Amino acid sequence: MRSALTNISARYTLTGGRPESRVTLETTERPEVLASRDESGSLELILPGAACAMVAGPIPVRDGLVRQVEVRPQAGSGVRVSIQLEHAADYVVRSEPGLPFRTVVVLDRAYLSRLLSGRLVLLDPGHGGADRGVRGPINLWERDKCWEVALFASQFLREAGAVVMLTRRPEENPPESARRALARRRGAHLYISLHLGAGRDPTERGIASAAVGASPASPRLAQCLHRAVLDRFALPDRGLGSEQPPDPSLLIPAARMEPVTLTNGLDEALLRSPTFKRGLGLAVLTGVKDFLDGEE
Amino acid sequence: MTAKSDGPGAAPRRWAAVPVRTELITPGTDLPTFVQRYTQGIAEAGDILCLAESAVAIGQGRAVRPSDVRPGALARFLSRFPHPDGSLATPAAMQLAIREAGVPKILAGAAAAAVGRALCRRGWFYRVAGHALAQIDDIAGTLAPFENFIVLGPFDPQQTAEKVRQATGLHTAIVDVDDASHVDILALTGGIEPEELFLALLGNPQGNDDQQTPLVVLKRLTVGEEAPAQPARSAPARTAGGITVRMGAAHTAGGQSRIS
Repeated sequence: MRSALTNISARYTLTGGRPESRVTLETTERPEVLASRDESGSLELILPGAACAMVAGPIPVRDGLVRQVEVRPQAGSGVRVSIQLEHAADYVVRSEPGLPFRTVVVLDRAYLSRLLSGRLVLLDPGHGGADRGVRGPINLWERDKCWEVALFASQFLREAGAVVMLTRRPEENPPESARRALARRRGAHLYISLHLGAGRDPTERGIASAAVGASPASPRLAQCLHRAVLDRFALPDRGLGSEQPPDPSLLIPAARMEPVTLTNGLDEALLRSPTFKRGLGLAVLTGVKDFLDGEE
Repeated sequence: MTAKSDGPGAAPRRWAAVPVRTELITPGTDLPTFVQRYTQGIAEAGDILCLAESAVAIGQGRAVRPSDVRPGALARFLSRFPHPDGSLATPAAMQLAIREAGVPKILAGAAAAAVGRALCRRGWFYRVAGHALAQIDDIAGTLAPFENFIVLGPFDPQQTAEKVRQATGLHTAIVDVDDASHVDILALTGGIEPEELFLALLGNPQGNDDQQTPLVVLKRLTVGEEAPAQPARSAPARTAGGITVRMGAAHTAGGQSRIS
């Protein structure tokens, strides 16, 4: 039986404290693998002679480094796997014998570390303490879900090299002015406020974001975060706006994001999923990366 | 079937699990043809095919929009009691459970759950009302584009497994597995002991997120190839009579099972 490609998975992982993107190809036998880099910096893996048993086509990844992986059977025989990257990255290809045989492409995320290193990101999980914010139709509260998403975002930003501070502890509810004053006092580079939407119409759902503060860069930060969530999840777009009037005391790039609308039953259900909240955390990382990329 | 277990996790695994990434199964997908296509050149005599129950259910058209369900007073009342993270915590999902099991069973299950709660025992609702209800995935419990749907458990999984076996010539199982080492075997045509199947599926080779691998081919390892045992985090294997063979810890809250 000739080697057949049965599955591809892509995961962001932390190995020995070092963040990596791993793309794993699973085959029924040890395949011959020819790896090369194309002109855009993306990777091409050719598996000559292998059959493609899995469904062909693109697999979205969007982990801040790997945009997507695309599988195409080649005319005649063989399979071409294209790993499309946000930017060039060093990589190694490892073999893990067994059934399935795994060919693992480990991609270095050093670019993100360089970009984020030393940047202080102030994450503001909305509400807190006795202020529970909006309640979902079943039982979730904005205060708690904002906190959980902020923890995921904080983890990914820290692993990428950023310094992250939160504006509150779970039991605290500092006033808005104190949260923003913290950004000034600590010399934060970015301020990201996480909230959840509320609609009078229970069918209203999806993401809304807004630029806050007086920095001219705030609208672009809001846009990068907004786009990063929409790239990752098929959510309705409730639009991008800006705080009116802008807070003149907040002079760093700042944005407020409501990734879902908690008063909608489906959006509330999404917030029960750790995978979804983790994905929102990764979206904050990719949004920040896209923003800083644009600055450079 | 009778219970038989020396405690899963102790013996080495004698089967390798090969997940196959497929296109999405949608209502109307002809499952035997689908499985034939994706196992061509991979599966051979002696292999076991494992299908994710939620994918089978979607293929059978058992994905229901909550807006198409009119919850009655009983559903609205009973949906307040399950754990909020569970699959029956919304009136629409509870109404579908009532439709599936009937009012008497649901009421008996609710009474059992109340007694169980007083005794700090979980899972009594499903034990009385029927384990098939644990296969209901509420909205957002299934992979996109079916996250807007409540997905019921598959209809007559044993007959479906038999049809796949006839089409492929390979023994087939329909299973519900999650990352917490819950392995529910809903149907099995043979070829492997349920305890071995349980061990082979520990570690959830189908995945619970967005892996899109509703099909896993189990291949028997030869002596010397045996894999180390996966740690079992659930209760010892157990089996029950009838079509459905359940193993692992009881599904008390339904979980966030996804087509994977």
